[in-house]
Amino acid sequence: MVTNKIFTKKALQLIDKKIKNKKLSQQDSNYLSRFVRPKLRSIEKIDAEYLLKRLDYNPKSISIERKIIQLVMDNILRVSSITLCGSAIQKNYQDYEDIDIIIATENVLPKENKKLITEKIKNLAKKENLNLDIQIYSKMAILQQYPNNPSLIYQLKDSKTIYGKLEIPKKVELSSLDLKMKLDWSEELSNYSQPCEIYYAIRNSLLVKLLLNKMVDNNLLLKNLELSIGKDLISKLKKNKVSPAEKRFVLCYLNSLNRYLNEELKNSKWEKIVIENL
Amino acid sequence: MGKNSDRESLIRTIVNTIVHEIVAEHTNKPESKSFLNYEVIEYRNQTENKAEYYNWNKEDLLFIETKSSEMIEERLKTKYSDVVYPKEEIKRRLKVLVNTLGFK
Repeated sequence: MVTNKIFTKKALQLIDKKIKNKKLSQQDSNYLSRFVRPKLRSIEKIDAEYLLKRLDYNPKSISIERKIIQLVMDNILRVSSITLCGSAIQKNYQDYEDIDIIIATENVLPKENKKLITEKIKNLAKKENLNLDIQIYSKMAILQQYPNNPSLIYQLKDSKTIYGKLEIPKKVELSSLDLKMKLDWSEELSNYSQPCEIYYAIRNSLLVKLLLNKMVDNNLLLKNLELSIGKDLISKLKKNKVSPAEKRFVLCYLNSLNRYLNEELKNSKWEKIVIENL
Repeated sequence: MGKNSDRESLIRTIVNTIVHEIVAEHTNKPESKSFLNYEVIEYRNQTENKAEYYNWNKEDLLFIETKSSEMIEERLKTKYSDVVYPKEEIKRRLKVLVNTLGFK
């Protein structure tokens, strides 16, 4: 018999009876319809594996975050906030390639300075066994572009601010132009393109597809990617190790996805997509 | 991956930079301008990084300019047909970008 903490003893007995094809009374059938099936449908919608990963206590996180704050504060003046995003934070520092960091500064830093500082912090982090992917913007730049920048909206969803405050709006309004522009990033890839470029282009197109459906969900984005091209191919693309046939397949998929999205955007009747509760 | 692959990749970012510059300047959606201008900076940085990687010869440069120009025109025609811009702007912006990248 199935045992768990979600169903009552009576519900479990009925499930068992039904699975073993035993005859159910009208009362039993009603009970299944009213109390068991709705619960199972709700459970189906929950990604327990993902939630468990996020809720898990990982003692490593405190030390990693402390090191990151130290590295940033030692090398950048007038830091407004340090925000961690991407797979490391979404997977609670389990099974990740690098740690994505968005640093917001009070002032605008010159481009060359940014480049030097980024490289310096990255190299220092490597000595601490941390692989960092750093983006530095002024706080003003982040707040100005956030409401129209699909990538930033996705990056800051599920993010964790480990220093200072980054108060972003809870509601955004994206126009079809914002999404068209975002989709440009996935256009014109060819056989000459690197496999990892094709991977990021597909990811980007799927992100636009989710936004068209008013969804900002990094976990769903990953699941969609896995459903579309498979875990194995994702891994090969990221490592630039695909066969010519696999490359043709993903390019074909990308092109048809882009054609569909471009049509959707072209024929859209809406003025703006409003996304709330971010 | 070799030079051809990097050349194609460079053309992609050049096309996106110029298309977004033109749309940002001529769009009738002012609320998107700020984001578009940041996108342009992002694409420009990517373009600069990719351009630095090789010593492009005259043939490469001609190919890059010609193909980029065709693709920009096509993208604006098919995807941003509502954006009105002077035709000579593509060539002008392309020249400025190529010059700042230190190709010539």
